[in-house]
This record gives sequence, structure tokens and C-alpha cells, in this order.
Amino acid sequence: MISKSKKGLISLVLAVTILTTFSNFAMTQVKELHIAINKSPWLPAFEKLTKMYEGETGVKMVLHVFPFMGLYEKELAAVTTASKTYDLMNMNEIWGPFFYAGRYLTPLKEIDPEFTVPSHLMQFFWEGYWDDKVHYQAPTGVLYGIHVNGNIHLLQYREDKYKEAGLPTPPETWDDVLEAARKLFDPPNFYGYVIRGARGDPIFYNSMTIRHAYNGYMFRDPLKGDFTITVNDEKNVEAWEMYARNLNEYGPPGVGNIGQTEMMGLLASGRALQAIVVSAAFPHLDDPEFSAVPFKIQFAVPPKGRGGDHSSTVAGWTMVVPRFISDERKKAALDFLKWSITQKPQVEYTKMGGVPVSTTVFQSELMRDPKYRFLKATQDSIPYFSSMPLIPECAQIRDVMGLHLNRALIEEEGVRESLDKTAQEILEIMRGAGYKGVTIAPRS
Amino acid sequence: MRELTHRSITTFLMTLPLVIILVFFSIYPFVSLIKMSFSSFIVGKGYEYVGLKNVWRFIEDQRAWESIGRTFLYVFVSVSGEFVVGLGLALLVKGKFKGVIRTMVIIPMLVAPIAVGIIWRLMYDPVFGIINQILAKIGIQGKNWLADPQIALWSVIIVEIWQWTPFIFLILLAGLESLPKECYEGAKIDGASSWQTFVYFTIPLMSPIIIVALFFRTMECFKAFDKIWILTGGGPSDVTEIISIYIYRVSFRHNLLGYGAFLALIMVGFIVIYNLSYMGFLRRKI
Repeated sequence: MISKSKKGLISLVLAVTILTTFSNFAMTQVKELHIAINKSPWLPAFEKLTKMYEGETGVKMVLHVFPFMGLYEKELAAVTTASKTYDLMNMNEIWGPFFYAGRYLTPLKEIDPEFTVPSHLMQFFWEGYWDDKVHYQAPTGVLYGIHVNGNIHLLQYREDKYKEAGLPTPPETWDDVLEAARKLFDPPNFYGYVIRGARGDPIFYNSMTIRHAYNGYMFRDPLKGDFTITVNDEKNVEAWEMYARNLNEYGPPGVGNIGQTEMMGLLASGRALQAIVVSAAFPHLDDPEFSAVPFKIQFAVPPKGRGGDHSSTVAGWTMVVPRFISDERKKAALDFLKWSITQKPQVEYTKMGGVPVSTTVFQSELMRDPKYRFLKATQDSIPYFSSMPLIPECAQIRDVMGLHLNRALIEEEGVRESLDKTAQEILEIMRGAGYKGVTIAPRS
Repeated sequence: MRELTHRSITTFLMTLPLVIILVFFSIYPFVSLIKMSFSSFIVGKGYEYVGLKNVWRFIEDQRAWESIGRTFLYVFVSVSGEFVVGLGLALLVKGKFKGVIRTMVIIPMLVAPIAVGIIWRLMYDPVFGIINQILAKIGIQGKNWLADPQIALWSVIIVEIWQWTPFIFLILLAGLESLPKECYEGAKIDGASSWQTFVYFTIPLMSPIIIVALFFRTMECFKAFDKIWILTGGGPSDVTEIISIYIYRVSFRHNLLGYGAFLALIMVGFIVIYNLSYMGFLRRKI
């Protein structure tokens, strides 16, 4: 006969065993991870990276690929309807704050309290963080996401043409770039500099690198909560003159509708000799199938502006975990992110045509391979990473500014006029969104 | 009586799936659209009722009015162009060129609008595009087809006409080939010229078909989006920003989902008014 206490003990052990078994079963239940992602030049490399993870862990990786303009709608619909479709969502920098402030995502620390960002991970201007108190992306904020592609702006220029013309390489300042553009301009065979001037995101994003290099920023000090609008100050005007007037003088026709594809086409055909392009373009510009000038384009830290410094705008895409999925799925999603930033996957990812996010790649053999010469420029650019001020209204601001910049480029508006109108519209957006005391900074 | 009841039940059951589909995919979304139109989307909270705020916003929104004006211009010129070219082609092809040529003429209509946008964007490219290259060969200076604010909208309209003329062509050709031959023979005996035959016989006899063709095309043209988005994204400046593109920008760039819904409702309103007036006109004509 078994005593009552023994029976109780056996029942307890059985219960614990069953619970443990079931909870382990539940933990290993995540057999698939669904990722919403944009169609981009680096997507093939990311696809291969997920296959690598599949091979190592057996977790099936399902990519839901959307064009840039379709991804936001899908993600917004997913989070606002508490959908459980995606385990990970790749999120553009301009949408991030909207989702962070809306609490639609899971802080990574909530999934794993022990998780900290490894020191070898490049810091993309605090994208992925959100501080509710200052209502801004800030290191003091909560971490929501990790970059999976370290895309940044680099100056990409024809080193051979520079050398032929006796110009020093790499160009150190925007005035050097302008001088080279003037010297090398020989239309229709060669265009000295090409601007990505299409309305909206293209011109906004492409011009940000030069504006920041001239110390031209949108707000005075958003990290301290000072959203005084400075977008039309003299530094911005000077940068914008250089971009839309001086450099554009040596550009190809039809610049008002040039997007990333056209810009890369002009560089790859050998017609355009320099431009600010995302580093993710590197495999295409060296691919003989795509490029007439493989290995002739050199990469450099974007030049210094007058009175400013270098500035490399990050092309922020952050991978985030939605709020409404189960804890097991959240954990599985974070496991993938943790794995993806370790050295081996990062090196492989770079070999497959992706742009790494970990500095451990700079210690690898790839640094000696001319195929990956963009890595040196990327490494040198780290101290100069910059980004647009990321607040929930930034998509709206970007659209407004992208319209006026385009108008200035096609000379429908003057340089100063376009920035003044931008400032006025930003003021209306900020006031409409409830920012208190926002004004346009008086011109010095 | 019993048979009648049985038939009613059968009819009800047969139509039920369609009714369910209609409720879920047309009526429910439309009711939601109306609800959203009088709301604002607040981050983290969802939709909140704002009364007539979006109406006042619309009244004061100059860009919305400009884009509506541009939409009407776009629709009017595109559909008119498609009609003139389509009718011309139908008259030219009537009774001849059966088979391959007719099939070739309708190819543009079969291509996805996104692909059409990409193809024409490449053709319009001022540096590499085939159009400027051909012009250069005959000594004409090429244009910045999609980047020049003076001509960008017209360049986009040409693409619309190119893609959808075949639709009008097909309908009109079918109509022309079904017209009674006797009328034409009688007119010929009475000494009517080709022009007189066209004006006094062909057009009146074809008018119901023409109205149907224009009705469908106009309705579709109001909804144009993808091609223009690929070609210009609404630029340069805002010269190709028709209402559908403006709605997209307002909704998904400015995150004003409630106001975007209201603009979509306005667009639906325009199309409904247009449909009703067209149908009335059609009833009087036929």
C-alpha cells in the first residue's frame, strides 16, 4: 500500500514532469518564423542568411516580401488589428517611431531580460530605441529592434577618372567633389555628379548627407527635447545651394525624376562619375552583368561640408518583434536576431552581397579582398553616422520636405523659398501633433 | 404553392453565397470606410470619432482640390484620346487584318500596369531612353519627359492612352462589324459621301456601344494609380499627383488614415455621381 503522502509526492512529480514536458514541447513548437520584409538590393543576401539559419536550427524561415510602398501598410494593418501573422517585421526608420510610440512592438528586454546589445554591433544613430519621455530616439530609451542590414550612404566615385585628371583621392570636402565634377563634366559622355532628385523620399534622403555635412539640421536639439525648427537656417541654405544648384550643374538631364534605379544605372553605365549612393549597391556596381565599369568605382566616407564635418546617413531598416504574438514566437524571433549578428553569419551575409551590422567583419579576411572594398569606407564612416530626427511625424515631414526640395531642384521654387516653406509646413505638422512651444528659429 | 416555396428556397440558397461575399467584401468595407471618414487615427489608441473635422479639412485643403482638378483633366484627355485613336483604328481594321494584327494591337491592354510603368519609364529616360535616342537620330533635341513639369502630365497621359486604346478599339470594332450592311448600301445608292455615311449612319448606330466603352474606361481611369506611381510618384513637384496618389500620400505618408478615408469617400462619391448620370444618359439613348 502506498501512503497518502507518497501518493501526493508521486502526483506532484507527475504533474511537474507533465508540465515540464508540455512547456518544453511548447518551447520547441516554433517551427516557422514569418518575416515581413521589403524588396531591396540586399534581399537576396538576406534570403540566403535565413536559409543558413534554417540549416543550422531547422526553423523554417518564411519571408513575406513586399515593395517599399506596400510593406508599411501591411505592417500597420498587422499591428493595429492585433494580427499574429508576422514574428519579425523589417521596419523603415521613418515608420519606427510611429510604431514605438503606439506600443505596437515588444521591447527586446521584455523577451529576454538578459539581452544587451553586443559592443561589436554598429550603432545606427540610436535607431531601434525609443524614449517616451523625450518622445525621441535616444540611447536612454527602450530597445525595440536591431538592424539586420548596415546600409549607409557612401561617396561612390570613379577613382580612375580622378587619377586621370590629377585629382587627389578620395575627395575630402564637397568643394573637392564639385571641382572634380566641373573638371570631368563632358556631356553626354560623362556627367560630373548625379543627384537622386525624384520627389519625396529619394531627394529627401539623398540630400540629407550633404545637409548634415554642412551642419544643417531639421531641429535645434531634439535629444534635449528642443524641436525649434532650423531647417531653413543659413547652413541648410548653403548645403542646399551646393546640392541643387552647384553640383546639379554638372549632372544629367531629367534629374527631377531620378530615383535609385536610374542613379545606379548612370553609375554602372559609366556615364555618371560620382554620387552619394547606399553601400548596398556594391555587388551590383562590380557585377559585369550589370556594370560597364566593374571595380572602377571607389567608395569613400561622404565628404566634409564647409564649416562642418563628414556625415554618413544611415539607411535605417530595423527588425522588430510585434506585440501580439505568443511569448514562444517572440523568443524564437529574438533567437534569430541574436544569431544573425554573430560573426560567422555576418561574414557570410557580406559574402552573399549584404551589408554587415557587426564590426567583427572588419577583422575578417574580407577586408583584404577588393570585392569588399566598401567595408573600409564603412568602417571609417562609423563616427559620422547620422539620421533624420525620428519622431512619429517624420514620415509626414519627410514627404513635405521631399516635395519642396524637388520643387527647388526643378527651379519651381527658389532654394531659400523651398526651405522656408518646408519650415512653415513642419511647424504646422508639429503644432497639429501637439508639440508645445515649437517655433521656427530666427535667422542669424 | 409548395413548388413555389421550394423554388424560393432554392433561389435563396443559390444567391446566398453571392450575398455573403457582397456583404463581406463590399458592404462591410464601405461601411467601415464611412466610419473611418469621420474619425482620426491616434497613435496607440486607434480610431477616434472627430465629427466633421475631416470635412472642414477637405474644404481648406488646396492640394486636394488641385489633385481633383488634375484627375478630371487626366481622365478627360486620356479617355478622349483613347476614343479618337481607338475609333480610328477600328475603322481602319474593320473587315480586314483578322488574326495576328488584331492580337498585336491588344497586347498593351494585357500588360500589368506596373510593367507598363517600368517599360515607359525606361523609354522616357532622357539619357538611355529609346525615345530621345530616336529623336536624336533625326536631329531633334530630346525632352525630359517625366522630369519637366510642363510636360510630365502629358507624358503620363500618353502611356494611359497607349495602354487602354485597345480596349475601346476592341469594343468599337465589334460594334462596327455588327452594323447592318443594308443601311450602307442604301446610303451609297443615294450618293452619300464616306464622311456623311460616318456622321449620319455610323455614329448614331454606334452610339450605345460608344457610350458603354466610354463609361467603362472613364470609371477605370478615375482609379489610375500604379502606372503613375511607377512613372513619376506624383512628381515632379505635384504635377502628376491625381487624387488616388494624393489619397495614398495622405493615408500612408502622413498617417492621416481618417482623412485619407474621407478623401476616398469623396472619390467614390464622384464615381457614383458620374455613374448615375451616365446610366441616365444611357437609358435615354438606348
